[in-house]
Amino acid sequence: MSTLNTPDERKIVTFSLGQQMFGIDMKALIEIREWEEPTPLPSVPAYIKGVTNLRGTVVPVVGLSERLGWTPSVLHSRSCILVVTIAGKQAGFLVDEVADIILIKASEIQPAPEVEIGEQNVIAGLIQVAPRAQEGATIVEGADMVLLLDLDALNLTRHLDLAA
Amino acid sequence: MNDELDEIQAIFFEECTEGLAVAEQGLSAMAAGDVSKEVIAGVFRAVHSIKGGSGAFGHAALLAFSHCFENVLDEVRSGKIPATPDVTKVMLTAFDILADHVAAAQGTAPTPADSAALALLEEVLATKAGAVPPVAATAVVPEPASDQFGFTPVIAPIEDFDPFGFEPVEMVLDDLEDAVPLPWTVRFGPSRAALANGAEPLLSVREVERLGGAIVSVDSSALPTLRELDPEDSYLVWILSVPGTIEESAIAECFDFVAPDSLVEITRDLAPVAAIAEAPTKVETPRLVLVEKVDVPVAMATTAAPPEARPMDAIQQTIRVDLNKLDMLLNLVGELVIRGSILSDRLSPVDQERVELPELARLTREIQDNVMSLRAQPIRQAFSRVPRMLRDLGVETGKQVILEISGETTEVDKGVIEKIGDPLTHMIRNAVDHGIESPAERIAAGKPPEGLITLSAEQKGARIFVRVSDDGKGIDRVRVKAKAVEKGIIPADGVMSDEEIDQLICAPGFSTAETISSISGRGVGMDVVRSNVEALGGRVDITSVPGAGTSFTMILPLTLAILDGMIVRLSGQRFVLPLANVIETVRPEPGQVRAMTPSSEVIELRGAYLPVKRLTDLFGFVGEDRRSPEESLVIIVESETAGNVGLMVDTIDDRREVVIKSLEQNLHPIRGLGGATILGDGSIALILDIDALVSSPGQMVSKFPLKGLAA
Repeated sequence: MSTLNTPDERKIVTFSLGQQMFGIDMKALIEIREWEEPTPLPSVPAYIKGVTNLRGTVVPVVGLSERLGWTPSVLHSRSCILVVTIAGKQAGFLVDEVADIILIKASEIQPAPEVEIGEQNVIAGLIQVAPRAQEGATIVEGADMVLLLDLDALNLTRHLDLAA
Repeated sequence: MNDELDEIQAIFFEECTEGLAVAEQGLSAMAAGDVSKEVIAGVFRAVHSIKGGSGAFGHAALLAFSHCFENVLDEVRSGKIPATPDVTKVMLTAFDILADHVAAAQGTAPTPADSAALALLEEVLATKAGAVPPVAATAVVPEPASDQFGFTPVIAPIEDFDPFGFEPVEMVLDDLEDAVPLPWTVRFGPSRAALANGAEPLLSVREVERLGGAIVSVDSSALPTLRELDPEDSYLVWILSVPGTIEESAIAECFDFVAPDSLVEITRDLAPVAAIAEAPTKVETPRLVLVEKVDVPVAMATTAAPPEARPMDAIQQTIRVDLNKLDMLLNLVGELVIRGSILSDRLSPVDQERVELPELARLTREIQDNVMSLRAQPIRQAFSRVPRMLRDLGVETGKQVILEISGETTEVDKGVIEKIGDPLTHMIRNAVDHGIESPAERIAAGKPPEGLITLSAEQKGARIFVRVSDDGKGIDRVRVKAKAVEKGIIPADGVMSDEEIDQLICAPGFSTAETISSISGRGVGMDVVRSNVEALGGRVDITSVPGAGTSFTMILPLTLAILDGMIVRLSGQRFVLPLANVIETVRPEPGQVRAMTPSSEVIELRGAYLPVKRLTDLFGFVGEDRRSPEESLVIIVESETAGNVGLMVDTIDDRREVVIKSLEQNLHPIRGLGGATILGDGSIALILDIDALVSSPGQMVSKFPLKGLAA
């Protein structure tokens, strides 16, 4: 769980998928793009929406919600793609809405309780953040829980390696 | 060892690798009968630079050996040893040892036993060129230190020479060390007036140094005793040596600003070597200081040490660039092309016609072509080591092999070339060891005693086919299967097709060789081939005919090549069909496409029935509008495995060259796709791999059926 090892403060990009708030390490983020219909691929899992052109590189686009086992995201005007780099490979994650960039201490990350989901836990930890009003965004009451994702577990070629 | 040195060392080894390649090519040419001066000089230079670097990095064994090798080459180069086939053979042997030495210096191999090769080289030197000083003594002297001419001053009275005359010098033009004109000797004694005027004699001396000259001595014979010494007078005369390549007038210019009554004599040396004994004894500190500074340029012109032909170097100038930087450049240029066409789409037709835009497009395309060519290299580089390998294998196995190479100019991405070296080695070894029979067996089988190995490369669509074929005995399937059962790779009752049995050769740990030879039989070879090729996103095809031979084909992606493609549309999505596969396009008449089974169709074409496949079905896409055959186009494509097949598409959009982008860079290879490309509007079109598409029955099956079995 390498993402937990960095001491002191970390920047986390938070975003929503359905009713849930998720976070990824800012260091992995390359850019945030508007949603653009990707080119579908044959013979890939349903959560791989296809590939898109990121400045001349062919980058797969993943329906993150489906990948995590939630219902597929419904596209709307604030849908966007977080382009991240995982183990040297780039991937775009479709998210419902980018919320914030928060600064947290490593000590604020609580380990995720063990749950049975049949594969390696993709949740690296839980973070409690104070509610913050967003312009035009829904205001969530009370303290909010952010699920910090373990990007390495979301590696797209990982499945291939395990399957082989 | 610090990082910086490591880095420089890494460059040195890179140069060694290149040097070895050049030397090998040259030696092969010599073995083939081309003993021209250029070829020999090329080999010499390559070995020479390996030697130079090895000295600098303290690889003593490599240095000693390369030095000896270089000596022989030098003699051959100057014609003192004739380049007979025997001599070439010795040099080829020496080359092998040299390559081993380089590997040893890199730490990837043990230090080779070179005494035999050294003895051979010494013998060549001794018998063909007469007495040559023993090598061992000089072997450890670093390159730049050798200095045959020395800075040999001649205190020559001016009357003896015509000060402006050029002494006739006998030159051997092909030998640079002799061709260097004799150095100039300059005597410079500033006059009292010069000093009184405040002229600094050292400034003039420095000027000469800038030309490559050096102070060799100071004539202080005019110096009076201390009691008589006038501190304001000048008594010293500097004697400088200037390389003979410098114009006399240039030397004279250095003294333009000294008072006219100063002593300035410029003369050309005669027989400088003979003058060593006359070297003045009163050489004091100034000499040491100054000589040191000009060491390099003087050494270049007057010593015999680096006699390489400099002009050649200038022609072959290269620069080392990080591959990542090239990739980045290529990506950016691709992006530029795409943005260019987006821009053009947005402009009004009138603006599009204006001269600037086509000009810009042409320039961009030219840049793109250039950048592409930077990464693409002829596959010859990977093939060049094969002839030598076959020679060695021939000696080891006693099998005679003739090699035929074709398609060596096929341009392949450099990354691919680097990675196919190992698989290629294993394929060739396998062909010689397992494929080609011994001469006796061959004659018994009615074949010529020499085996034939064909090595070919060709580009087909988005793929490169590298094929190694032999005319040997073919794969003994019964034995292969028995062996696989014995090793527990497959169950004893497994029913397998011939192709599946052939694929077993590539299973890890598999070998049918009864004894482990140095060539093959360890059961790693073909496994390495398959895993390397798969790592590149390719595959290995094996075809074998008992008694007639086996052919292994590496089918590799051509990640960075441009593909000539047909852009077709299917359920709203665009695909690129490699034009190389397309035979013809048919607009079916009613009744021309018939169902054969509920899920398969055929097209009648000039009396023949060809299978027709719908791309949407192949890919498992759910098409929103399933067009009838009459509304579609059938593109007849040619495939290696399934012959001619019709592919049903909606329309054809365009025909153009596309840049292939790999899917595996950020994802993984997908069967049926050769990659993707970015179209003019910035959207992505998938490139079809026709062979993989039509050969797989119906839906895509797992990539390698045997993978699970082999693991």
